[in-house]
Amino acid sequence: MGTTKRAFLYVTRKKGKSILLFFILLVMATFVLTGLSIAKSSQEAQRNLREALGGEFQMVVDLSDNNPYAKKTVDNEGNVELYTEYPITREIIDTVITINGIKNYSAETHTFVYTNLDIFPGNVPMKAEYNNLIYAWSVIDTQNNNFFQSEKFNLIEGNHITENEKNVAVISNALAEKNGLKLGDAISIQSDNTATVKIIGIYEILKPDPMYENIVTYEKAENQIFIDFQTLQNLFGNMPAGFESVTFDVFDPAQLDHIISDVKNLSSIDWRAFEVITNSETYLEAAAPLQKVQTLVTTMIIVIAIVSAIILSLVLTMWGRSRIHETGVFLSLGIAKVNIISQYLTEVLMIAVFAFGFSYVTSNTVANQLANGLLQQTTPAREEPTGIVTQLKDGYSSDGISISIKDGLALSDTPQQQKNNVDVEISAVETETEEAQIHTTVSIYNVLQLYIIGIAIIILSVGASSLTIMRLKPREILSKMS
Amino acid sequence: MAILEVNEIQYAYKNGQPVLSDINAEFEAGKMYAIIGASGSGKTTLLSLIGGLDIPQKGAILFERENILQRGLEYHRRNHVSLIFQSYNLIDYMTPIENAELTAKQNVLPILERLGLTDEEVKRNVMKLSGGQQQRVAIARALASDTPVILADEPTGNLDEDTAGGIINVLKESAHELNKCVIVVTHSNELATQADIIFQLRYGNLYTI
Repeated sequence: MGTTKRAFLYVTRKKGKSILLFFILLVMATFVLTGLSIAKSSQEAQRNLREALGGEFQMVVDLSDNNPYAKKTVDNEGNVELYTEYPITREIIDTVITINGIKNYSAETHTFVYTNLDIFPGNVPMKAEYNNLIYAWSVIDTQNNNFFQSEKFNLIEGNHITENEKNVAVISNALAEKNGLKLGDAISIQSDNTATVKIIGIYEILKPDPMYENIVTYEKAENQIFIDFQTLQNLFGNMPAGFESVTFDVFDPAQLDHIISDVKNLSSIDWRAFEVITNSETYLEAAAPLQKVQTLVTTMIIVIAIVSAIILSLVLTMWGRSRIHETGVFLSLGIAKVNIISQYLTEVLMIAVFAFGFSYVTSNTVANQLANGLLQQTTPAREEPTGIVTQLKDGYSSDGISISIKDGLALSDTPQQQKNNVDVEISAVETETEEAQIHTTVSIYNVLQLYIIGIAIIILSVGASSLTIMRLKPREILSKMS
Repeated sequence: MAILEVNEIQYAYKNGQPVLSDINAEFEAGKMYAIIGASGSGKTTLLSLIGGLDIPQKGAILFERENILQRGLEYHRRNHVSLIFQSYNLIDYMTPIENAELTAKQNVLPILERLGLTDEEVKRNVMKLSGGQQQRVAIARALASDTPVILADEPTGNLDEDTAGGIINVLKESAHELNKCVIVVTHSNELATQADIIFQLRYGNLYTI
């Protein structure tokens, strides 16, 4: 009779033991599979978070004494002008973006210009000659510019400035209205030289300058003008035109240090002239709880595996003692020790196949609850913003006062008013950072991992539990049993 | 010609107490041997050594002139000898058929039927059979494994007189009709007198009666 048949007969005839072993293996498998699925989901969540948040680094012109290209001029009135003879050029940007992992970039430089426009005056008194100065932002494209990315400005008419466009501008709707300008109209900009640009886009201001704050004319949101790089070159004439800073977005913030290291190894760029500023704070802050979960879960899986192996070994050793008679009989019949251990192993594996399979169902139930529980424990508590109600039941807040929230302001009605007419309107409460969340599902890959880990645990346990018996001679076993 | 030879074997318990000293014996196919002796005289020890369950401290056991250690005790137990015990030593979660099939080299059903087990009994759990029936299953297992030597340790020790008589006949038939070499260790005079050759183990030595 073969090993498998003997194992099958034992499993099917010793139903009580088989059922008990099934539940032991089921519990073990549920924990291991839960751990594996949370670990995988946590890895996936980290990857998604990295992709969602991204990371960035800035390359800025160093105007300190460290930069041998930095120049300083002082005019007759004592005004100091700092500039570099080695700015960030298109060639430099094109070299940097050859590095793997960089998603896109946004380059800008701002310069004081005079225009033929009637601008919005600031509330800080300035010399008359500076009253008509405004900022012209030279960009490669406005869409990736920080003003638009941060949604301070929003393009409402026309198009963004795109790469390689020449002599174009994007202005605010307020400035356009004040000067009776529309898309296609031309405006004049003056610096060292004068340039004429065509308005191709008009933006609205979503986040206006704070009221009652001191602000100079050239910093007012309404006065900001965006121009293309060629226009900037024209305005400077013979001086080398370039960008003051470039922000490079990377796909994976976890790779930021590596990417920066690659960038700094670019020998065609003289890095004495620039500084690199990294920004992965948002990612690190958001990913920290997930990383803690990952560590916790990995530890959990190891502990579960060890504890499972110990428990299983103890149970099998206990049962092995009750099977000493059987072992002795097999040995007396000339059945090899390896063959006998194989039978015991096959028995556990036969039950394990079903227990591991069924753990797919139990783990799916446990995993989500456990994952979010772990995440809550590893996420630092946040203070709720005052006046913002996050949970409402049937249109009423929990304290019985209806809340209407608009633009972050909370207005309270009296209970009487509330009974008569209550319309609760909630504006979107925006979180400044992405929330870390784990959506756990047990995958086939996790189940395969479980089978590998589970089989290893079973082999170890059966081996350990069989050691005592297998060291005995057949006669010793037979005399023990008699 | 002897199928099995015991050459000058010596054996002592772990505490140093000698139990067998310079035992010599030859066993032939087609004969039934009985080994008798007082309790503690070393009968079961001698049977265990012949059966390859233990190794003598000195001397050798030869099967067809080859030392049984040559091919290993496991091989010897599987291919040369079958053991029958007083306590039957059947596997409790198996039926008689399955027990007999454990090391069977032939169809077990005719053997079980010849030994008097019914169609219903051979499919019943072995623990639900009487002592005599269980011993028949043990003999069936020994016969089914088709080894030339059958070693029986007090095979009738737990059985009533009638049942014991039946078992003795089966063993005799195995020797005389199936040409097996049957060696029985027994306290039973009735069984011993049925043997072709009787050995007595006394003070560690084996004597032919």
